[in-house]
Amino acid sequence: MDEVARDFRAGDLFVPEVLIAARAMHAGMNVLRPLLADSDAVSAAKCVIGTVKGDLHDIGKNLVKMMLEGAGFETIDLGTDAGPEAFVEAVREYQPQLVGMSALLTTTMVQMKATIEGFEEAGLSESVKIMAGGAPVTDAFAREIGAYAADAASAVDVARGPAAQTVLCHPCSTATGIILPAENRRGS
Amino acid sequence: MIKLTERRASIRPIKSKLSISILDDEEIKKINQTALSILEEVGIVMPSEKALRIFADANADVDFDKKMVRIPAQLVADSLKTAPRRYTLCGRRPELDADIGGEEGTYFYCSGEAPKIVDMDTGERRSSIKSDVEKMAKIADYLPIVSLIWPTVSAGDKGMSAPLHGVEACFNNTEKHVQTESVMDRISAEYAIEMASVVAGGKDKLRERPIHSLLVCAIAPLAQDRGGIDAALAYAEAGLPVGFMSMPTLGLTGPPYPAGSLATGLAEVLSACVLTQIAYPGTPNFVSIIPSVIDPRTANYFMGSSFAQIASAAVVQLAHSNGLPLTACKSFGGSQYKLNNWQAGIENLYGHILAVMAGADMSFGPSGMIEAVSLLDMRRILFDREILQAIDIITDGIEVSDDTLAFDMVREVGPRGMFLAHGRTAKEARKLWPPSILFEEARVEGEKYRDAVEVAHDAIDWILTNHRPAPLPEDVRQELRAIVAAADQDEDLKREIRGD
Ligand code: B12
Repeated sequence: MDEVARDFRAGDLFVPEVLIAARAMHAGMNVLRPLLADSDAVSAAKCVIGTVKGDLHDIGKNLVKMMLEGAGFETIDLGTDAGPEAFVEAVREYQPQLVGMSALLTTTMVQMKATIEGFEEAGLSESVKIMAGGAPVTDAFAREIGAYAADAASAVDVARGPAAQTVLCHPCSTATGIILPAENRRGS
Repeated sequence: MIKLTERRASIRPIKSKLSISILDDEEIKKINQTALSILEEVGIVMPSEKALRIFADANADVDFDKKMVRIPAQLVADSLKTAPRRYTLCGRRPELDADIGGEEGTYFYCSGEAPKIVDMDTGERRSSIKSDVEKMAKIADYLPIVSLIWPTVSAGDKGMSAPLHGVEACFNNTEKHVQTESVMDRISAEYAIEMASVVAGGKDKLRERPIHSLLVCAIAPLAQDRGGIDAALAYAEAGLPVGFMSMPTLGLTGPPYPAGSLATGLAEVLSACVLTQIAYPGTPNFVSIIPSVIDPRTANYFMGSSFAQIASAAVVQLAHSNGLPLTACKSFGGSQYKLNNWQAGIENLYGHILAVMAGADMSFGPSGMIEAVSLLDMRRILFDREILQAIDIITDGIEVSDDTLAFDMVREVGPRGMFLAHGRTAKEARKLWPPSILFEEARVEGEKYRDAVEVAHDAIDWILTNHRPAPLPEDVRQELRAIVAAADQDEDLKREIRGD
């Protein structure tokens, strides 16, 4: 899948092809998982992902989810119109390493902040890396809540580790996402 | 740049003498029938209690648990009978009224609600703010090609009441008709209607002369938005025009064929028109279907596709066959591409010319938006103005009369003579050379032509500095301010948008 991701980023593969590759990988994993049940190698990192409250746009969110799954992450999809409570609950239940939020409307962007506050209140904010994205999200907005800007393609790199603070470029220039490593969450 | 002059707002629709039809009668019938079968057999998700009750009372097949309605074809036909084919989208003065479905041709929008803008001073992209909405409304007020105005960007500095700040900013900076596509819940709708009635001089006056209207988008495939539908019912109750839009993406939120996506799109918009007609018969409705494709390299939303443009031109016939006016889309009035690239020029030229020749009542654009309606470059609107001016001339065809055949003139000038110094040529020459804002002649020898983007920048600066839209009376301005301030503080409004 790493190779698929690389070819996709190079423009050699199209999205439907990536989806087919991801499906094949999942089928393979389903066969392997019981055989390797005890090994750490296959306990995939988890990401809770959703479109925030009041917002029904999910094309971008689904794309990010697909990229993460393609890279071997297990995703828990909260769908659209997901309130802070839904995010908090899912983080409690699934204990993911990552949370991804999407908002496409000026009026729902504020829900990202509300959701982060929800994590803080629940004492969960230190345990997850938070990523967020959507067309209205700019670098400035990202900075305001102490974040770095990136996008769907880079979500995987960010999700994987210390690259969290790297700003990566993606061919689709309308796309912006923010990556919120825990240590940078407050006023950096 | 031509010399721009101060003037009062005016509007100019484009009437085409040339016409095209994309679909034949049989094809129109088939798409309509498929849409009706979708409504009757598959159904539409309608997540508004109020809407479901209205449908249930009209004997549609409602499933309250699934929030789903199946609408019999007969109910669709009966309800659409009360939808007017012709009505007026009023400006603040009758000279600015758009006679929708009349004889005047296609009226153009400065559409928008882009969340980001190219800063005119720094050239950097940033979040749009309320003062950007004000500026853009002023520019749209100045340009006659714009008849109908949306907040072209969002008041991103105003949080959850941004849509209302956008409407206020427009009322304060244009006399033309103001429409919104972001007032998307019942409570915000009430505030917006209150603002409109303050501007119109009361609720009854507003009903008589609707200076404000709403456009609501369906959630493809085959679902409506709760807040949007509630807002639509509030507007219809106030006697304001309400339009419905569908945005099927071929192969994603619609079938991978233009015909199939037109059918699902039509089912979506008709379901909402039927709702408003049942609840408030006679509500002025209009529809719009905006097909798009996905960029398979990025999965990004792509409106600039030729498949999308031809499908959207076909909507003219589909809407008219249902007795409804429509707004043609042309990339939502923007462009997929950056402003000074050749693809943007092509896209805008054929998108608009298809809409005009197909006989659209209204058409999105010129606006200045790029990147799938997420970014505004103000200068862009002047490029669109230029393209529409060309289309205006082209679609006017050729006038053939004794005057224009000019046999007498030919006889007078004769072989090897010259028409240039003739009195009639002097009169006609201006018509043959319509004013271009962007085309510049080098003034000094050796001077380079300036890039059109640079010229556009100057022209936008000129308009912003010199154009003064006719102001609202101070007491009206104050009242609008008070309404928006109340909305800012309204916790119920926030709850309503969140859908708690
Ligand atoms: C398609 C679309 C719709 C579709 C959505 C279909 C669907 N199932 O999602 C429909 C037609 C339903 C729709 C409805 C509405 N829409 Co809309 N929509 C768009 C449009 C044109 C494209 C969005 C899109 O899918 N892009 C493609 C994807 C791939 O890109 P993306 O979402 O930006 O995601 C990328 C990045 O942002 C990032 N990203 C996104 N999420 C995440 C999450 C994480 C964790 C990360 C890391 C990254 C990330 O990665 C992605 C890939 O690179 C945008 C304009 C635009 N260009 O954004 C308007 C837009 C967002 N919509 C808008 C509006 C106003 C509406 C409506 C209110 C219209 C109406 N009158 O009813 C309704 C609202 C419905 C609701 N309650 O949510 C406005 C918003 C204005 C504003 N400033 O708030 C926009 C900007 C268009 C405009 N100018 O008018 N819309």
